[in-house]
Amino acid sequence: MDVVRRNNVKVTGRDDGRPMLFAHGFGCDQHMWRFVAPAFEADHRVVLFDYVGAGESDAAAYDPDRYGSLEGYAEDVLEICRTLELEDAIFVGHSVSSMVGALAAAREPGRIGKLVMVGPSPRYIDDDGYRGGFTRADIDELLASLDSNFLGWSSAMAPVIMGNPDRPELGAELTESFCRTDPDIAARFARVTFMSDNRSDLAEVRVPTLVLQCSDDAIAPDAVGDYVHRAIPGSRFVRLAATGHCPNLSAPEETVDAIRAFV
Amino acid sequence: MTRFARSSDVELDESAEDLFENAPCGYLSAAPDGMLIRVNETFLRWTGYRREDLLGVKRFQDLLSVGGRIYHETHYAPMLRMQGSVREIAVDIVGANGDRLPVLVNSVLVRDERGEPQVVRTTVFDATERMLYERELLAARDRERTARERTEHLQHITALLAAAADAPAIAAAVTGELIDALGAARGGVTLHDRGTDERPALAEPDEGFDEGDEAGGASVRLPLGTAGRLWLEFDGPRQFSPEARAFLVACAVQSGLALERSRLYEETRDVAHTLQASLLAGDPPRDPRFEVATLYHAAVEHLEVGGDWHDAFWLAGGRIGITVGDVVGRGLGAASAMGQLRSAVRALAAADLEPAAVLGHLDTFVAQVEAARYATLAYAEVDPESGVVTFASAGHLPPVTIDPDGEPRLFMEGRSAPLGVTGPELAPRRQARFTLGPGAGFLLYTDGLVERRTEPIDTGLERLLAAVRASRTHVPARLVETLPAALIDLRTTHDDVCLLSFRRSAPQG
Repeated sequence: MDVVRRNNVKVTGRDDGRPMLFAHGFGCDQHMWRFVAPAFEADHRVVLFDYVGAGESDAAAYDPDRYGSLEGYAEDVLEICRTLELEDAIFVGHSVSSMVGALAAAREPGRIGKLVMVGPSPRYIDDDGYRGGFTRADIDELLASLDSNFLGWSSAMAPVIMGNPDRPELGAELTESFCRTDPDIAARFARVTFMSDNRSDLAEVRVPTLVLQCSDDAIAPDAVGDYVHRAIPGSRFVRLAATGHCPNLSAPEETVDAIRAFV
Repeated sequence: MTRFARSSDVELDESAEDLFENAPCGYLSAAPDGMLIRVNETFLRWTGYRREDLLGVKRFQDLLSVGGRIYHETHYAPMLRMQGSVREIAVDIVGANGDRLPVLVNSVLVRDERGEPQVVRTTVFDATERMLYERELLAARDRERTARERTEHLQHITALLAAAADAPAIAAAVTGELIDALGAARGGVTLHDRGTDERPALAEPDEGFDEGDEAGGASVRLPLGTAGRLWLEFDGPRQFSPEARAFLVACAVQSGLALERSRLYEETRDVAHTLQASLLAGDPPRDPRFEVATLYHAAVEHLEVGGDWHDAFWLAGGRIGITVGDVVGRGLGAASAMGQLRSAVRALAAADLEPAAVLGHLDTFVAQVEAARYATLAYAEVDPESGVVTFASAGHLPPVTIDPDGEPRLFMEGRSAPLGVTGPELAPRRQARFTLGPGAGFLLYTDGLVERRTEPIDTGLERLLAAVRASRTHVPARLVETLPAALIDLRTTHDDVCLLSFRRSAPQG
């Protein structure tokens, strides 16, 4: 199996630099690192990739059983490490990828030597005494709204539109747009992301870890970032001034600085 | 204010202010973090908010439902940052009184001269009608998908039913597949006893479906012809669409037919087994001068009977006739051909014909009994007084001669072609003699004892000789038990095994 093609793996930076692996979260693809990853190319071997079903990955490689849990995504990360022969890599995971990184690092600590978690949440749904920020009904609504979202429709209809010679501009626009996802896979990934409970996996993380918490993050609120920090032994916690869930896009400089200070 | 003069006397007043406030869409301007800085009248009218409820108080994402808010953070905001615009995002805006307004949203991100995000301009279109339409489209897509999956399940079930060997296998196949297809909690097939006087019942789409309620989960109970009943239970209540009912009824009908088929098949098989058992019945001759023992082991893998047989009977003049043979094929036809051949051998042998002549007459016989053609047969005529054996083989495996004081050997003489294989270019039927000393004997057997699919027959014969050597002092009754156990795995063998062992008694002390 061609892992590089499956996950649309892109390698830049210094061949002899310590590897840095940037993993996108739910809803986007490797483009969301485009303001952050270049800053590390001078010193590191920078690896970007798309999860199966996102961006320009090979959607035909999607296997509902394998990707029915975050373990399958972690296995993809480790396969990328093995293929590129990465050792002691710094894994930078946004959102759900923080948990993917935690699972991968716990399984093969030799491959992943440091973890950076950007807006992590081990459990989105509130649970007896735990505040994840969402109720089960909220998540059900999200899953339903994903199904009806026009974006999903656009990409589902893309081949039809692209086959329409009268309106070639439509096809071009859809092809160039970022964060394209296969709508079926996106819906399944959303379910895996928002239904997962990885709280017990955090204690298994033995590598140095940085938790980056945004201000006013609707997806991963302060209390959740704090929970992650306390659950991972010896982790470092940095609260960013950046608001929202995507500091890598809204405040790339602050994000770069925080990561650089850690690595 | 601008004045547009038309050719007629009608004059239209159109101010930019009025165009903004009362445009046929909502306008929102927000800071890069989403904080609202300007909204138009149309938006306020649609949502019921007052301007002071929103400006500097709420962010755009605060107006969305929770699902929409997550979507905003994971899709909308990243794309806006990266592309500078997003188009036709479907979200629900939660109005001042909690009502939801389905809208389509377009946004552009305006940057200042340094390229820093400055303001987000958003237009909001009422998409109530469109959402209804889309919901119908989605429902239609889901129905189509379900129908396709059902068809695939039905095809799969049909294939499983065709491969299932018996009623329990059929029940397991259909139950497993349906639990999987419908997400049932439990399910099974209740099989009626044979001979139940139940009238054939066809599954109906309006009978046997219980959609359940809060107190009890849904369930399905459908008749499978006369053979049994299919039941499925769900953990909660559940509605069965006409398509789901039709699917289940189709599965029930298919399973009923498959059970009926397997029942007929089992009956045929039982008849064949009974016939075979009756044809092989009867004790071999008993006499203090010799011992005869036989064994028939039916293959587990095959449900149909085979055409192997053994026989030992008295002939005139105090001699004994001994045969082991093998009819080609399996099932009722092979069993009945075997019975006819067995009787024919006895009749011909009783006419005082020598073994080669017996085979010659059997060639004529099988020309009229198609199912017996190409049968192989070993026939020995034994004089228990002198120990002389006259032997003829029609394409059968060679006998093993057993001497308590010497090496077991394959007796390779007296051989000719299988029954019915005749012609001028073929050698005539032959026979040969060997003599058994006191305590010596011989063994006849069918190919199931020595043949393995993956190796030449010589290897099997070598193995047989070695096994006989190890047990050459055994009495015949013990030998026929020992050899199959030593040579084949009786739980998995794919062929029937038939054995006959003859031994002259050793001289009395």
